Amino acid sequence: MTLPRESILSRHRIGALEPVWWLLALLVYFVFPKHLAIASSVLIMAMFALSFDVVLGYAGILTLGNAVFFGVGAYAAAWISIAGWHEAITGAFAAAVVSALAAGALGPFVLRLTGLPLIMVTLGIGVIFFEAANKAAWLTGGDDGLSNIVLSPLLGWFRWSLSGGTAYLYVLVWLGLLFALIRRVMASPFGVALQGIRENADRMRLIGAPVLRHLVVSYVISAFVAGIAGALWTQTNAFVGLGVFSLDRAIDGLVMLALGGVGGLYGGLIGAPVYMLLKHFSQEWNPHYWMFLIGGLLIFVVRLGRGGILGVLGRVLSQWLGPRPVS
Amino acid sequence: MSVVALAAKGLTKRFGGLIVNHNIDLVLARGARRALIGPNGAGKTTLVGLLSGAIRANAGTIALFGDDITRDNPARRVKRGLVRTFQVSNLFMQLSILENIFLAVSEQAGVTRDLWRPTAKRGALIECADAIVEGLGLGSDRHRRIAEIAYGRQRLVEIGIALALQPKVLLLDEPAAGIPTGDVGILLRAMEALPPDIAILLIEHDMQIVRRFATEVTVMVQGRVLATGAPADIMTSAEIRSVYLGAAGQARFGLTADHA
Repeated sequence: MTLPRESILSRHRIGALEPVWWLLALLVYFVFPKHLAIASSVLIMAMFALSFDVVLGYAGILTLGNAVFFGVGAYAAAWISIAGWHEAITGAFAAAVVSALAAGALGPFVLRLTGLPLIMVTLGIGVIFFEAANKAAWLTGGDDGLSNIVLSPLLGWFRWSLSGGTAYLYVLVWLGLLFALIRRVMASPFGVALQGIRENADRMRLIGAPVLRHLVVSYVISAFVAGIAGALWTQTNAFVGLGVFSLDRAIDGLVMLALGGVGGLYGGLIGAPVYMLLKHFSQEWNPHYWMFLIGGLLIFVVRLGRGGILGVLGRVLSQWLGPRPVS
Repeated sequence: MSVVALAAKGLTKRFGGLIVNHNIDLVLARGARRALIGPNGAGKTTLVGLLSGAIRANAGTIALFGDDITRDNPARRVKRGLVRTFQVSNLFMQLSILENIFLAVSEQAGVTRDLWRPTAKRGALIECADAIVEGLGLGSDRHRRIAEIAYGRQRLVEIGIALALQPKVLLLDEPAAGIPTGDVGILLRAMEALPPDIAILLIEHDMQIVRRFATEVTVMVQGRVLATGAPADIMTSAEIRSVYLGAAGQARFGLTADHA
């Protein structure tokens, strides 16, 4: 039996336009060699927004707390390097495992909540982590952060250049691997069950689904991705400060996702560059009032173009190509 | 002696000072086709809630094939084979009919802990979900979202989810409510096609359906069980007529009883 393209049962299929994004990302490396540092941070934020999409877009968990896992990953990567382990890939992986463990510990308590209480509690946890990192200066460097982060050449060969070329490709490969992994997991029966929980969690319980367990697993996966994003942030900047825990970061990630489109995995990948470019150019246009432009655009996209940029693009394309065939 | 599938003893539920289920005893044998009737507010849906675990009883015990399930949560009861449907459709509105049924099929098959194999490669499970969709006459709408289809069709999806869970005891809470008359036949055929050893408790107001489907009838009034018996006996009992049906009901009932 053939499933329609948009069915959640056939999410493993790769769309015709998907390779375009990855080719463009690779092209940036050759076309903008002077801007690779900022481009790396765009990719890292895209990865962070992707972590939001897993919990928000698929499982329907309204959380503001993902910056906690970004921050834990970021500091863990710093400690690993300072402790004397300078290999980047295993360092980032280990740091993300710490984030995932934190999510595994917090999840069973936090995810019993829904709606506003959940938002408030995750917000509270974020504030507590920020303040704890601020006070524990012996561990985190407090306001000064941690800066003596050293990495050995990547794979024993590629030096971490000042221009950020190695770092950019390093981040892009991580993003590609995590994206492929998450796309695969979200196309599994587990991913389908998550979307059932998003639609109607009570009904899922009444068909016998272990709802809390599914939610915790999605939370751990999301935290792992956020943790990698945090670790890459530390590794590419060779510095980590309190900013990684800030609420602004969580909100940035959420805005990028909403701008790009929630629940399709590409939302963050589209939203992050658009948001960062917009921020850059509108700040240049007017350093005092640039937020008006961002706010206005956000209202416009979320209100008029449901489903973010991807939603608008999808509708334009289907208008253009005719309706999608069903069955 | 037939096997007891579901046995409830002394079930009581109070909401504040209001007793909505008072000391209810109910026994369903394996393969039972029991109708539960009673006027609005008699506590029928509350009883289904207590049995399915959606509502916690203040007192009483529930046993499924001899095992005490009083303390089991709804999910565990479903896993043990006690499944209910809802009087008002309770579905996954933005997902398609096939996806709705698939959620139940995959849960029943126990594959939702698999994070790796793509859903689309689970051909057997998708075919199984599709067979249920076809069996309920929903084939033409299988890829449409629940929010887009008529309410009567949604009611059939509700039944489909229950079927997908392969129940041993099935509680049907007014399955025909909201189904257009023309489609009731599909529903009845689906109910009659259920494996004969499933015990079924059917809440229903439509006496035609009760007569056609049930071999036993339990009458509830004001939170208590008034009587249990064969449909013909219940429908001709003078006491039940006076307590439950009232004057208007007697006229209606008398008419249908004559056909029996």
